[in-house]
Amino acid sequence: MKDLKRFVVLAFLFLPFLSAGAQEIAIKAGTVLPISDAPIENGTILIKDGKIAALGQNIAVDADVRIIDANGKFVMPGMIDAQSRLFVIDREFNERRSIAAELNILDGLDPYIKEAPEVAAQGVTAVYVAPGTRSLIGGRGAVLKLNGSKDVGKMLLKSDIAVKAAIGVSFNNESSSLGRLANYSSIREALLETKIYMHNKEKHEREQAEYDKKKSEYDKKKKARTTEKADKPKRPARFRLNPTREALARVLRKEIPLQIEAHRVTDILNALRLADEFDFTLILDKCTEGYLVAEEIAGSKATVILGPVTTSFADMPRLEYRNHDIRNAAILSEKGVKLALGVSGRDGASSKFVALAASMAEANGMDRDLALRAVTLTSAEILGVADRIGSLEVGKDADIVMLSGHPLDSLSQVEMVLIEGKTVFERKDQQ
Amino acid sequence: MKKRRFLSFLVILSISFCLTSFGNEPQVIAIRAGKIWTVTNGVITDGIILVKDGKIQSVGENVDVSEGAKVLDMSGKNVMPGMIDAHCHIGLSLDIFSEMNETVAAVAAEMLILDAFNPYSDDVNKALRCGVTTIMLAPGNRNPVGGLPAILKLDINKANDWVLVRAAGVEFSVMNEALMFDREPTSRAGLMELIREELDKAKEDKDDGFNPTRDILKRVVVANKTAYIWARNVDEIASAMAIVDEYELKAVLVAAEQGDEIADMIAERNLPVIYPPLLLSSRDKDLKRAGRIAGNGVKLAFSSLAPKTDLCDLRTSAVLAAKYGLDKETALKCLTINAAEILGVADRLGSISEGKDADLVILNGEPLQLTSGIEMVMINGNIVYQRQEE
Amino acid sequence: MRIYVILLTFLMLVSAFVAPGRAEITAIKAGKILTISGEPITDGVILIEDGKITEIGTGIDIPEGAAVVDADKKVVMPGIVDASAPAPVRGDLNEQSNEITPTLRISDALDPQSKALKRIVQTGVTTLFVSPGRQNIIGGLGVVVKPTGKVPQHMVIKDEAALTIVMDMDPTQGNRIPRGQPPVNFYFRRPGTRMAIIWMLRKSFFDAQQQTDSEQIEDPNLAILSSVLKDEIPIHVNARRAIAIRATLKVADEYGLKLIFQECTEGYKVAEQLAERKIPVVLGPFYYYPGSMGQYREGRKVNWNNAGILAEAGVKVALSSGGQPGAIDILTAATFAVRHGMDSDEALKAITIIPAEILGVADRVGSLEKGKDADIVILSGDPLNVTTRVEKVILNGKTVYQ
Repeated sequence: MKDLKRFVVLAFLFLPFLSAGAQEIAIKAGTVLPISDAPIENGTILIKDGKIAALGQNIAVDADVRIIDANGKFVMPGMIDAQSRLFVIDREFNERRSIAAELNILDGLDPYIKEAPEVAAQGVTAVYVAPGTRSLIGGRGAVLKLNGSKDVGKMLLKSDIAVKAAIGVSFNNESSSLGRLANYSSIREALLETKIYMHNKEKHEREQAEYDKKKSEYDKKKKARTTEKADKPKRPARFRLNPTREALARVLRKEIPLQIEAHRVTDILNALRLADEFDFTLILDKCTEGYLVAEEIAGSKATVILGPVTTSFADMPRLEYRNHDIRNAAILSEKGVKLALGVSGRDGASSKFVALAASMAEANGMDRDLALRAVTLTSAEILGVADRIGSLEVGKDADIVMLSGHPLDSLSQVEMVLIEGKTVFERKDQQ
Repeated sequence: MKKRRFLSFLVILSISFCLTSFGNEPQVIAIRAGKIWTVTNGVITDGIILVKDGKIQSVGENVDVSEGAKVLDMSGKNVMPGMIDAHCHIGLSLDIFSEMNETVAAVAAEMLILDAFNPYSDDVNKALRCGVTTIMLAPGNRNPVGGLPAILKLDINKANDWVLVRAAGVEFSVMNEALMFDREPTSRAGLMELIREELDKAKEDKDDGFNPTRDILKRVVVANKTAYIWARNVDEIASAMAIVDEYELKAVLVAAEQGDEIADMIAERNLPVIYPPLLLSSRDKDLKRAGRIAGNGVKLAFSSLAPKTDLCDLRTSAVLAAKYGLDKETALKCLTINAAEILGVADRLGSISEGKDADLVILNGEPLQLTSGIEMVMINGNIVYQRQEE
Repeated sequence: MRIYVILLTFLMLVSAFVAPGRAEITAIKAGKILTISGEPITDGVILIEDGKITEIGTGIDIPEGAAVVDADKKVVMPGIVDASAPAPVRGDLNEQSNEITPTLRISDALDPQSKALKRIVQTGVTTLFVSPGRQNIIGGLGVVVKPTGKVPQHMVIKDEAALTIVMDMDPTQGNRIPRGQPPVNFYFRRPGTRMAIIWMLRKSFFDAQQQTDSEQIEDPNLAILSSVLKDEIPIHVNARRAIAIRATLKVADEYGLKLIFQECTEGYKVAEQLAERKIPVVLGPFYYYPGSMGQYREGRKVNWNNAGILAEAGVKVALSSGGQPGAIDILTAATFAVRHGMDSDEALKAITIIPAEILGVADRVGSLEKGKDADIVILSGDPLNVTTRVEKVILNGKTVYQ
């Protein structure tokens, strides 16, 4: 019994060491594609506590480190689908009310769906999910990691990525110019009203601060019972906080971007005009006819999340894709537009096709490196999560994919996927 | 006077000579290519294809190139046969919707899909730059008896006979999509009964006047022409097989996605399958089906079902199928020779072989790589698409 | 003589080696076996080979190499036969274009992947009668199936098993007057009254009778009805109210039809007439979803003592799920019937051998006897106890649920 007690005490002492994060991991001898830098032949990545601790050709690896042999394989950062429907319950995607900027996609996600592991198994480690486009201003989206957790909180990488809006999206494949004009002016009105709201709020805050000061003086005087006739300061009118406007205020303060889904040329130009007028960070979503106004987009500060690369990913026919062109990505990126690629598929599982989308972009003229970047680092940058993911750099999360060939080689197979150093997928050899 | 006449004669002669020299088709074209994917005879590295009068004269490693032959230097490039889309509905658009279903009547046997085809539509031009050179233009899946599909080549030109087959069999559908709430049949059992009724009527030898439905159905029930039957789920495929068995039809299953679950029964009956585009499914379970069904001895061809998916993604189906388990060689066959055989046009199309039509696609990478771009497309020896250098 | 002994021994030795090469034998050792066809067997054994029962009783040797299912403390009964099962069919059950559709075969619409099949197997059902929808006066031909197989053809054990007729006001449902248009369309041609329904039924049989007499049958619909008149195909009549039942009996008497009543909620009111004519009855469902759209509310009440009264009057009673998936499973329905007056042995027969006889498949299913299909349910206790669980279901000798 005494021995048992001793054993138990010793075991407890060792416990913290056992659970101190995962042990160190080294991925050795692969062709490493950091994305942020040139490829490294025969490279090694050292992972410690879920982060990339070291990366290069001659990295010293301790004896007790778990080695993953990447000889003959390609190693790259986990890919991102910037237009995903994973975890989103279909009918609960769109809020009927027109301006609903205060809604958060996190409240509408179902982490129990079965499709996520299939998507992770294709090397997609993060997805950006945003509210749909039935509302003019639909709410805020989030980036989630596909780490297999059933807790949305544990999957969440970053919330409030952007406020999502739409100009000119048709309902039931019917669309009118007047309708689109109304879209544009409604959004503009909402932004104008937000400006007024912000101004009023600021004014109120000033008045409140002044009142507080005067009140404390008055109180002091009252206490001191001075006979100075002091006027009791007037309390400023109550200011009612408006969550919708608060969300849009963050956009106007450039704290988060406004992501506008726009397909037609006029809608894209209207979005650019709005960004000009109100000076917010603009992300153009979908940007279907962007290739026709590539110069204008390049000349602005807007970034683009482009998708679907081929209309085959979408449910056709749709009016928006009438002038869809598969060379869109190539043309825009050639003009210097910063762009990310999303799948924009018809269901959550289609997020697995991110590498395919990049391959198709390359086949139709996009530079290979830019195409690969568009589903990794550029995507992370546009979404504001590049401090954590999107490339293999020291200090970033160890979200890593190992493949049998180059990621844009259509017949490559994903062999292993790690998220923050933990294995979320490992390919079993088939007969 | 004589001199002038002689001079004018010479001028006319030389002009006409020049015209024939600069004619549409040079006599012989020699294509040098890095890799020639013949499909039926392996891959030839650094070979030559000789094209004459729109046909493939010869193909191989050492081919004599005669003087006066126009040489297309595609060294380092890949050449494959023009792709065949075994089922699509392009050029039928009313605005953005495709008019591929006659929704008012359940039995639309005498509808000729070619009547609704607009050969000058944008769809056709787009198809060319994707390397699809021949299509089966077909009705949709919403009629139990749907109409007459056509087989077309896409170099549409008044001078060419681009209609290979005007009415290539009869289209049927036993899918739930053929059930409508406002016309018969509304139930599956009713659907089967309807088809049986019509086929029974066609078998009779009655002569009670003009009955186009019966005459057309006689083609499948008596004259053994091909019945193209839409059936996607296992129970639908089973219904299709029941009809095939009862009426001893020569048939092809269309969009039989779940065919892998009963592949042995399909193979037993020698039923080929025109497979739906893989991009319509995103689940691994569904993406693996094409590999499984072909692996069980069923002959498979790919289709885009355009505009359901982009016709240009016909090749994407082959790539995805290969990625999820279909043998690479077979994947390529499903885009070319298998489709040709199923559609009955393999004497002319589907491979790079002597005597076949010179329908060729030149890519800057291997066919089963999505990163490969199409640089040139040739139909009947004519260049119908060439990528512009930007 | 000795030679024969040696030969016999030699053959026995040989067969001992050969035995493992034969089809696998399964043996179920059970605490209590309810054969239904005879007295219950305590501590018995059932031997199964090739999906059939080869031996059943006490003191049976279990051959070597047999797979043994240990149900020592459990109760074993035959797989339940549901004579009015929820339909494993995709799409509309009813052919809306016509009220008289005798040639419709529901076997054409079976979907082996239907989730309804999985659910019903979990309640111990191994044989189902699937009938066409209950909206047409003459709905078509039903089929007896087992919940197994990849394609419908493998599910069917008896096709064209019965013709379905509906005699309550259900066929009047579905008339829709199109807005702003004259009321002459697809959905406005249905009969509106009970008289019209009975008239249509009579007319169909009248025409069939005429054709049968003249022996010149061209119309396939009438051909089916003619088979019915010749007693080749039985009729399942779905009727709830006593007046509907009586009206049907009148037509049946006129044409000498062989009837089976389904639902028969007010059957107790006409128990004598039914017993007189030896008409079997399939009761169920015992639960109606409130406010179901498009369903006529008439007569949809549950009378728990119905079964007891009918059985006592001498009517052959079967209990079924009535086509309602997921409401009350058949074992529970049987328990409640017993609580309200049905004899417990009768109740067990009512879910096994009696429906099998009604459906004409009693040669294969419905009881545990040598030669019948190995469709067996293993329960945690007495089947007529509400706390009993279905632990294992064996279909054609294979375990399909546990």
